[in-house]
Amino acid sequence: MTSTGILAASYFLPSNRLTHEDLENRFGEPAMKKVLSGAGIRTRRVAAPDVCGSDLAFAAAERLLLHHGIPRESIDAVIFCTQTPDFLLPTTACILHERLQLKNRCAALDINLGCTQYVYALSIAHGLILSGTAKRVLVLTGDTMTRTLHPKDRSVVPLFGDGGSASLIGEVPEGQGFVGFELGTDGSGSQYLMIPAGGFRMPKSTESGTEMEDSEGNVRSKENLYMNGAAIFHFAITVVPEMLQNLLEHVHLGIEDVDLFLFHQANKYMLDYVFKKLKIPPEKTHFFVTEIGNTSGSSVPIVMVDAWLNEKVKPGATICLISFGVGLSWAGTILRWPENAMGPVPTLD
Amino acid sequence: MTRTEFKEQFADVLGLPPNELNFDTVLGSLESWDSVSYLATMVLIDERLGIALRPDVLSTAKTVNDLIALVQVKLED
Repeated sequence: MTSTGILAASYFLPSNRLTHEDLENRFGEPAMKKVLSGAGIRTRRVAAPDVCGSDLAFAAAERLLLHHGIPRESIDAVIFCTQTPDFLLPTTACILHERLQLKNRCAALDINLGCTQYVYALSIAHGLILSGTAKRVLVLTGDTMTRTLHPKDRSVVPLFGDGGSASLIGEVPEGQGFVGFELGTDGSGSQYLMIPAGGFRMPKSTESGTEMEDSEGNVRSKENLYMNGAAIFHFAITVVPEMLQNLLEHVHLGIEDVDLFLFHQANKYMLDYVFKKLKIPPEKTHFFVTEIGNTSGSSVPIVMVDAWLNEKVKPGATICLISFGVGLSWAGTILRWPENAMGPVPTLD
Repeated sequence: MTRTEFKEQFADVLGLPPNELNFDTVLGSLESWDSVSYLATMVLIDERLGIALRPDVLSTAKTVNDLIALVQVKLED
């Protein structure tokens, strides 16, 4: 039976930084001191106003293809994950297909999920290869969540950053690569992370663009991202342990069998507690959130590449990727890192 | 954990000396009762008492006594 896995990966971050000091000037020192000690985020990368998520994904993909000399004609499908697409239509993956000069006999589709987009895309890439539809799949992520935030909303501005990634999924030696996936949804929490206006349920209007101040002094309109932080926190500390347990049972492994746990980098406080609750020792974890913020769906591939560059990800290692967030949605996978992996692409930073 | 021990640990979450927090203290009157200490309280209750208290339930508590009533089932007295 065919086995599939991650052969190569890269990420790309915009160069503009929104620093702790910038936010102290905007929101006041005491409030930001709490954010720094709580969320553990010091700096975020912010895309310029004319940069889209697809531009970040494109930059990551070009670097991946060029660094490893991957022939463009070998790509049979491109999956672009984003919640900040170029247009309502066409599918942004079709635009990226053209920009990346991929062949015509290449599938292209978008996945509209947030924090869980990457692991979902991996499961679909895995399925496309297992079904014989594709041999190599390019999984791209890219979002500019900072463009959805109201600059005076202290509940979200300190948390989010922009970023993109590219991964090549292909065949690996038998018994290596993806061992199993765990995917789940709780739509009853869809209102906890939401941009209410701008779709077809609530088109943009004068009313939707009206700014309102909440009880904590945060300003936003219905066209901005809203997050109920406490509800998302509750979701994370209850669903993540259950998801991991289900995933491990599904693949007949225990926490002790996994070499490295790479979780969605929502914020350090949440992750520290979840790791503690799951009794996962610090040496089996990796963080990359303090200097870049929560990059939404790109956070898992970005932390994965960073761990790979730091030689925590290596052939033969058993790696667990866990994501959770907007939807509410969750997705996890366990894979044995393949012997034929090409490697991560060094960063430009 | 007793009611008093819970109150002491809750005071610690708020960064207050234990004697500055009474059972009838109104949470909304405390400067340190903010979104960060709110999450820390959820962690305290989940970690020490094994109750994943939903935020819409937690927000019904107006005083320390109200908060204790929500977790009373896991306290010793």
